[in-house]
Amino acid sequence: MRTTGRRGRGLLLVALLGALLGFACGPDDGDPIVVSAASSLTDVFTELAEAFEAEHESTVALNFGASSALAVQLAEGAPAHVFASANVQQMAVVVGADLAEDPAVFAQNEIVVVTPADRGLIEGFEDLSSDGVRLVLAGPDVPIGAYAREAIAAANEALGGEFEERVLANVVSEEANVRAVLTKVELGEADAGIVYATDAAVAGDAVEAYRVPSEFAPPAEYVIAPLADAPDAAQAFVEFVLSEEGQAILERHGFTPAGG
Amino acid sequence: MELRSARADVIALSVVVVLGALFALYFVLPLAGLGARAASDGEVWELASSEAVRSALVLSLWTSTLSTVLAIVLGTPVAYWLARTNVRGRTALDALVDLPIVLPPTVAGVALLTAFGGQGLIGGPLAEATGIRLTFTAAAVVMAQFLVAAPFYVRAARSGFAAVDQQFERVAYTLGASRVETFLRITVPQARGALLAGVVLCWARALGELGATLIFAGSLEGRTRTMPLAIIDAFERTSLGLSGAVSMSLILLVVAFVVLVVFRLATPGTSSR
Amino acid sequence: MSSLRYDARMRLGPFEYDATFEADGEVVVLFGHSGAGKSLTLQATAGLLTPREGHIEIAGRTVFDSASGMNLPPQDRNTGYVVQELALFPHMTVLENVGFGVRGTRADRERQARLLLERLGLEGYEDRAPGSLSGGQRQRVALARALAREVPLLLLDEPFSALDESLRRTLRAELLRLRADLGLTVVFVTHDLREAHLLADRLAVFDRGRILQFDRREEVFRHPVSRRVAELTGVSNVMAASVLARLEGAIEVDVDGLVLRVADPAWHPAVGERVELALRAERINLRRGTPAGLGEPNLVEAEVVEEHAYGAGHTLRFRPLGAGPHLEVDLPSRPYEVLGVQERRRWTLELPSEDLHVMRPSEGSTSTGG
Repeated sequence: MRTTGRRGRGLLLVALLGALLGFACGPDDGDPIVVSAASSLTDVFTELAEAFEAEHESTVALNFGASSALAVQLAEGAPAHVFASANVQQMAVVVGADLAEDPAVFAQNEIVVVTPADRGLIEGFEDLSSDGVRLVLAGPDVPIGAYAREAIAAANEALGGEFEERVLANVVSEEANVRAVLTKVELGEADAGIVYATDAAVAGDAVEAYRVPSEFAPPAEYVIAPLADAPDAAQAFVEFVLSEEGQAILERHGFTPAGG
Repeated sequence: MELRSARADVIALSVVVVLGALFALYFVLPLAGLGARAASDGEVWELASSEAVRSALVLSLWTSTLSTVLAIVLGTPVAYWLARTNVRGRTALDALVDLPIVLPPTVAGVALLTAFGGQGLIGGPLAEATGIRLTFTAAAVVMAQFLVAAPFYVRAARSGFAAVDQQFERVAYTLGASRVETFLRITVPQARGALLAGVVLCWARALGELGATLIFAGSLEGRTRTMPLAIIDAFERTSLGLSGAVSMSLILLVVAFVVLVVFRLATPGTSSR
Repeated sequence: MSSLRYDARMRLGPFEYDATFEADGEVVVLFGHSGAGKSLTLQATAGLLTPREGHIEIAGRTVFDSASGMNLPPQDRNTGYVVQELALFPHMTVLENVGFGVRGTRADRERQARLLLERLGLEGYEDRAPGSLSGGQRQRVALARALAREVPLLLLDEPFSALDESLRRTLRAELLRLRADLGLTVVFVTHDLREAHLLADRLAVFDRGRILQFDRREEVFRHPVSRRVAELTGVSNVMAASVLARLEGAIEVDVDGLVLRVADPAWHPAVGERVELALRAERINLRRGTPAGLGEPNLVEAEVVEEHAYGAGHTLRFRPLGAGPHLEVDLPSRPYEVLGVQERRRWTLELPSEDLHVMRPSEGSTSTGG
């Protein structure tokens, strides 16, 4: 009597484990293409991937994060097939490691200052140097963080020479990626943050957005490339992003198409 | 195979030895990996003396120490009360104290935001009334560390106190010792081992705290970027990358090890009772 | 003035505890089975427990009074309390343990502690750890610690139960000496009958939360107030009887057909009334000859049906040849040998009337001796 009980329990355990493994493995329709893309591309690339899958045999697995963090991952051997970076510098790191070649610019973006909806403390880029402003930026290697710092430096001359120093003194936190910056502003923890215009659109009414004057901040350039030893489907995906259909999707999400 | 035979014992022993070796190996290998990388990568040592690392280390050490001190001061009476009381809600209270241990650190961070953030339950009124905002401050770091680490101390202290036979306390009362005197002169010395173990656990957990700190306190060099945050930051910067992360990891390990050893040496007589 | 006046009521598990007694410059022993309420009494006296209702005075000072809400904490009751486990503080030396309760400077504590240790024969043990001492030494340290505060009242909860006989003897003697020297009042809890008899000036017999009898030692042993007390105090022969006749200062009773003459108890039972007799096993005499031949009262012929040899003596179980109860007799080894009880199994038992104690019957009592 006891042995049957023990055996029965053993079988149940094996069955459970099998089911779990089955879940983990998922449907077996060939290996998916792994796309590592900047955090600001979260919504648009999700739609791009769905559209791509609808027209092609392959599946797309998306991996979002700060472009700098992704570049480090790739340099340390993370398995991915496509890299989409929010600036050319982080793509250069990957190219420099002989992991990709011939990157193509596929979209542009504007950077904006966002503030919590009813805060009223900031009404424009210049107000960032005001006393007591709690400013959140992404880290200096994260593309949006780099763009923000470049804009602040560029504006220094025009705004009195102390602008840069004051603004940087107002920084209370360096976040890991653009979405983290956005969240802190949405929650009202930060008085201001610098993100992409497309991210501000995602947050909708929770934030107010103010453009950074273009003389200080040229548009951000997004580049994409298939990675070395990637399957053909990876190249197909890159081409899809650059195609008319892909560009239309990007435009709908607020990105400026590559052509300008 | 007969379970009772001597052969079964031999097989069992071999299995235990093999599994034990694998287990130990699994813990040693990551350390060996760090060491190997440090040995082969020249950058690691340069980065070790940078300002970023120094400020992160100092911040880590004083915040984790402060969190631990707070845990001891605030947690000891609570632990003693939990160990001695028979109040009906005791089990629920025990669970409440243990809760932060099972909470994922990021959840703890979010919870802290909802309570003490600018729009939080306490944080909102506090900011309005006094203008004090807790997020993005070193105080926030201590608060995050305290939330996740203090329960380890309270748990250890509670079980240490519970293990002290109340007869000793009762006899002390009849000998004229007040409850406070009895607690300090009789209960605490006998719970010593457990209390010290709890302190070590708490401090270690505070030192390694990452998720809650990131969400509640943010990350800024010199103010809120503790060593674990600095390591993550280094890891995600192409300018520092893995070398930076390895460098800081080693430093943190060495410092933690030294502190633990010094602590153990400075508190004699804490072998198992 | 060294005294304890105690009166308390409270719940004790399934029982209702209700006890009243006092002690004054003497040793009062609380005796009874485990769970009867003896330890509870000490705890209530020491202040570790609060009775539901009652009044406790120590050395003339009220420490507990439910009516007025007075309830001094144990720190203020000035009692010396020694628990069964002793509870010597393991992380302190002997000297520190003994000096723990003493007020004053460190020097005062040490001086007083040394004094007590000397008194209890423990000089030289000051720096030892409690764990390194023998059982008897630990006992003495516990006693020293309790006495170091010069308290008027000493409460001891089965302090010697874990020790072997020779050590107990020594410590009991020391305790009595200390009591005399220091003029202490001692309340001593034990479930050991011999120890109770040895130490007690007065004895309180506990049973299920109540004191069945509280009196001088001799009284309790010779004149138990009920069957239960008799049983608890080791009376082997408790017999149901009915009154046959009333005589001058005596009565005749019928015990299972055997007629016995006993002293007339204070309540003068009437003819036909039921009573109970208590007779200690060691008070029965073995006589040769027959009851008829001897012509004395309270004789019965009987034979041995069971025997237990305890080394120092024998316990014999007798069955009467005619009418009468079964009887248990304790006989020390020498008389046993001299009388030749080994070979001769039939005897005439003498039940001395002064040793036959008459008690009121308990509820639901049945014939015994068996």
